[in-house]
Amino acid sequence: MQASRARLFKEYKEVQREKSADPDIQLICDDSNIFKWTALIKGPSETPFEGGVFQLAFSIPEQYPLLPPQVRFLTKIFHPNVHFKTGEICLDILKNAWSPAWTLQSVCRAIIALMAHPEPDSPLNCDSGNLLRSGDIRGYQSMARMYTRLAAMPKKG
Amino acid sequence: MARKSKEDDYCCDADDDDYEDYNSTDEDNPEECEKDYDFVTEDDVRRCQDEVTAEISDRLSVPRGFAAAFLRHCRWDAERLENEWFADERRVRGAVGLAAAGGLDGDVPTALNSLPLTCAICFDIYAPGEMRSAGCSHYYCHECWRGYIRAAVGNGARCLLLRCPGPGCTVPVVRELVDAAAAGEDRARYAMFVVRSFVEEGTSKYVRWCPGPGCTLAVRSESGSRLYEVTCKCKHVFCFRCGEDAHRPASCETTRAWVDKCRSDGETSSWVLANTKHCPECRRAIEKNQGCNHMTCGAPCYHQFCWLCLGSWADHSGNFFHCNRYAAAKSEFTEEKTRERQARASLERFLHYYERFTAHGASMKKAQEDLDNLRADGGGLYQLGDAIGVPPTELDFLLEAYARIVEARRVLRWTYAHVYHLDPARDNVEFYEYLQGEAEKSLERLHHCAEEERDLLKKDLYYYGAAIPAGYAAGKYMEFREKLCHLNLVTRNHFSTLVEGFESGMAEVVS
Ligand SMILES: [Zn+2]
Ligand SMILES: [Zn+2]
Ligand SMILES: [Zn+2]
Ligand SMILES: [Zn+2]
Repeated sequence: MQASRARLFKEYKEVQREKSADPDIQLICDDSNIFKWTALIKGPSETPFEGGVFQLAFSIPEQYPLLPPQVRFLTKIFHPNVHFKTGEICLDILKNAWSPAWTLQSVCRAIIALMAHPEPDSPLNCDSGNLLRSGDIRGYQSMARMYTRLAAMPKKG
Repeated sequence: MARKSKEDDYCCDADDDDYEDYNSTDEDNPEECEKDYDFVTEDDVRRCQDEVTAEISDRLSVPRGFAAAFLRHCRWDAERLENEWFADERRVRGAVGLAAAGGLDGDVPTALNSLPLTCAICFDIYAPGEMRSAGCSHYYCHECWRGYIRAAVGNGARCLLLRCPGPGCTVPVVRELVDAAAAGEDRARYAMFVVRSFVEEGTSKYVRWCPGPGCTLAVRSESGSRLYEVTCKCKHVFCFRCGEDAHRPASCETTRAWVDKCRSDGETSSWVLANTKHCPECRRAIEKNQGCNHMTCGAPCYHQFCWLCLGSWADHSGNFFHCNRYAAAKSEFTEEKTRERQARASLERFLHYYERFTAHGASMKKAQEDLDNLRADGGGLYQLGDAIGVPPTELDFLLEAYARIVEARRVLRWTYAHVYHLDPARDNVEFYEYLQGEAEKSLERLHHCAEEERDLLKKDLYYYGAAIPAGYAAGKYMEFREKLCHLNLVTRNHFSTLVEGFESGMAEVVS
């Protein structure tokens, strides 16, 4: 508990210091609970998520960083490795490939990489996975773009 | 290796039902056969493993921890590792996460930092010598290593695959680093997983832990032997292939299926079967507290019946032994829906076999207890021997009879699992049941003689007390002894035939 608090506090200071270092990621710690964070990540360019801003919710266990944080999308996203309803993410580093040398920041980076490189063979969203596996790239992209526009872009006046 | 495999012990000729001469040669006696397995302790296993690891460490010029990782990758087969290593060292190294060649100083399983660095886990800065790496360039402080290893060891045997925490780094965390960095109890747990891996992941599969409760021994077989049933020093008898309780003549697959079935349906069945039984003649409630299934109701009824089928015992001694056979009851519920009827029929069928499986198991346990008691204090038998002037060593025939009963009950109960899984359309169920019935009949006679007739003998002789007529006791005793030895042999032969018949699956060869 003490170790995780200390480590999170250092991550917090690091985030404050390097605020502009990675313009695609904005990590925000809950005012009253250092074990709850949210992040805003920008959809990577040249993907159907480009132009969208996606919100992630972090719930951090007391054994952090020996155990990985729990992360899910709060913003709806059409992606084979993200559960469409719950926002749960299927990503190895959040499960058995976790290492304590990962940080919240590097987790965000890994999620952005996952958005650009979906893995249709371990789908949480079967519709999306099936489109990709059947080679219907255009179908996948247009669905994903539609949801990006609907959920991840500021509504125009 | 000219040793006899245990399987052969059952293959003696047994076609003669009325084997009169119990003094005939007994060279097929399983108890006297040399075993083709021995027992090793965890320490023995560890010593053996350490030797192999040290040898490989020398031969390949790598630290012991890496040698162990390579060996484990090759399922602890040193020969295979050497072949693979000299054929393609890079591949073997790659498989455990090591670079194609060791660094300038060769392979290093753990190193200390020479410059001040920030620990990438706790983000604190440490002076030279306060951090360690797994041989790569990723240094972490002692505290973080300790926590990292503790978490891994808490996760079970997968800790043997532990890698450096550096993102994307594959360098393995091996014994040297664990010993240098982890807390005492975590080192011990890690060491235990290493030993377990040697037994459980070893390719030759010739060492297996005894699954007996609380037992820490391992059984080692002659490699390549057709080892099947093993009796551990802790008395647990188990199947060397699948680890279940000994289950001859049922196969490991049948056993698996049966155990699963009992687990899923056994609870209902136990409840059904637990209901007290009543004497079929006078309806008095009967409690079974002996091993044999031949029941005699109390005075004044004295009705003799079978515990299992509640049929008259008279039907069990002649040529009409049907108790073991499952006869589907003629359904009286013609109005019932077919599905319900079938469900009931299939439960009843299972119950038939389950009850017998359970009952013979209970009888086996009882016989084992009796045998243990006899061994411990003679069960009053030494006293008896004294009275008629027979030395205790001569009473071994009784121990042998009990050992036979235990063994035969075990075999018999598993034949019920086997027959349950037969397919009436394909298999000659009748023949299996014939063998089973004959064997069971002989066993019941043997068990009854060893239990009840011994009791009668004891009572008879005590009745006379000191006034025992000369020669009378000795005569009675000889009579009992001859009968028991004879029944023992008959039972042995029946069970040889039974096991042989079941295991060869040649049930169609009906004489
Ligand atoms: Zn540290
Ligand atoms: Zn490393
Ligand atoms: Zn044992
Ligand atoms: Zn088995």
